[in-house]
Amino acid sequence: MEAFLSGSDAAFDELVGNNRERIYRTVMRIVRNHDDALDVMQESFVKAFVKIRSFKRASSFATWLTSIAVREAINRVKRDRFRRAVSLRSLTTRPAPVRGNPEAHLERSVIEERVASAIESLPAVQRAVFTMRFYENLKTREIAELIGSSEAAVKASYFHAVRKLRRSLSDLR
Amino acid sequence: MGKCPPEEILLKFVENDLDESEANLLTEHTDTCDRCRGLLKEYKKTLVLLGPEKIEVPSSAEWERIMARVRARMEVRSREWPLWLKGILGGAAAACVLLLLWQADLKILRRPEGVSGLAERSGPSLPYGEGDSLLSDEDMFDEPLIISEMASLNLASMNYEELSELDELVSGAGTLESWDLLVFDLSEDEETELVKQLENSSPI
Repeated sequence: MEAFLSGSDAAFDELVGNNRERIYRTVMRIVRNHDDALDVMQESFVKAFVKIRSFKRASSFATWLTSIAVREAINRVKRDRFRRAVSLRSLTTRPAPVRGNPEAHLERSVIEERVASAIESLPAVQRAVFTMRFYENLKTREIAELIGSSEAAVKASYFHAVRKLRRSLSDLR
Repeated sequence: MGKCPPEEILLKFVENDLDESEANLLTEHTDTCDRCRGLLKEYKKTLVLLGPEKIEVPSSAEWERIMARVRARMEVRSREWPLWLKGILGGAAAACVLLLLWQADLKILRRPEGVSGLAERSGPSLPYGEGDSLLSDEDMFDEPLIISEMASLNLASMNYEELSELDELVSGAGTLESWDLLVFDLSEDEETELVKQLENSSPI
């Protein structure tokens, strides 16, 4: 950190490099699309670079960087949902839930398709909270810190997300 | 049977997030409540369906590309002027533009009192003669200057030919396109005043 603040670009590469794969998984689970996830990572690194001097060190650098990436991912989902809502083109296109070529996409089972679709239908914050808690096993307090919300709000978001998923998938056996 | 608990409690039970006494109470309830037993089963099934999710991370080449783009953007940003400096310069530029517009507005629309005629205008004197226009070609294409000159015309100092040409022009009989432009650039009030001056300055 000190090396980066004194102007070393290599130090910045090392700072983000130590965390990038873990953050990528979190971001990918929120945006559900490989290219979007890469875009979010890039934006997040640039933002971190710009804001590094305002980093108060109240949390670790990893948490701070993850927080930037998670918020960027949530904003991306909100923006994309809005775009899909106003674009007729979106009626025929939907981002692939997981990374893969078209053939692999076709081979995915119906259940995987339905699960992915159900998660994608969640509102941005609920999706982020659900994936971070369910897949990343983050604690409510940690998620609240990452998205800048209260623990009560995170708990409520998580419950509403799972209830929606239960209803979406209730016909699957 | 007792009152059905909120669904959130059922989810907590499935996720082993209830303490022992709460879990026991719920179990007693679901033993006798078909609805809650069905919901519990659905929550369990949902969490199983959601299952573990494998995420592939980007390749080294992809990370390299991202970091190269990030470094490029960082370099551009580091060359940029600070935001506060941009703000100050932008504000100063806007103030200059407004000042220029304000002055131009005054120059074009305000008819100065007691102004001199064409002969006294600044710059080289124009060689007027029969058939010549009042202004040089160079002036004709310099609209702000033309408008300014027009606003400061002193008709009393103009000769017969000049007044006749101007009279034709204002009455619509003029044929020079550049003059038409000049007239059309005058406001209605300015044109009215010009006509009035022409009427009072009958050619000898």
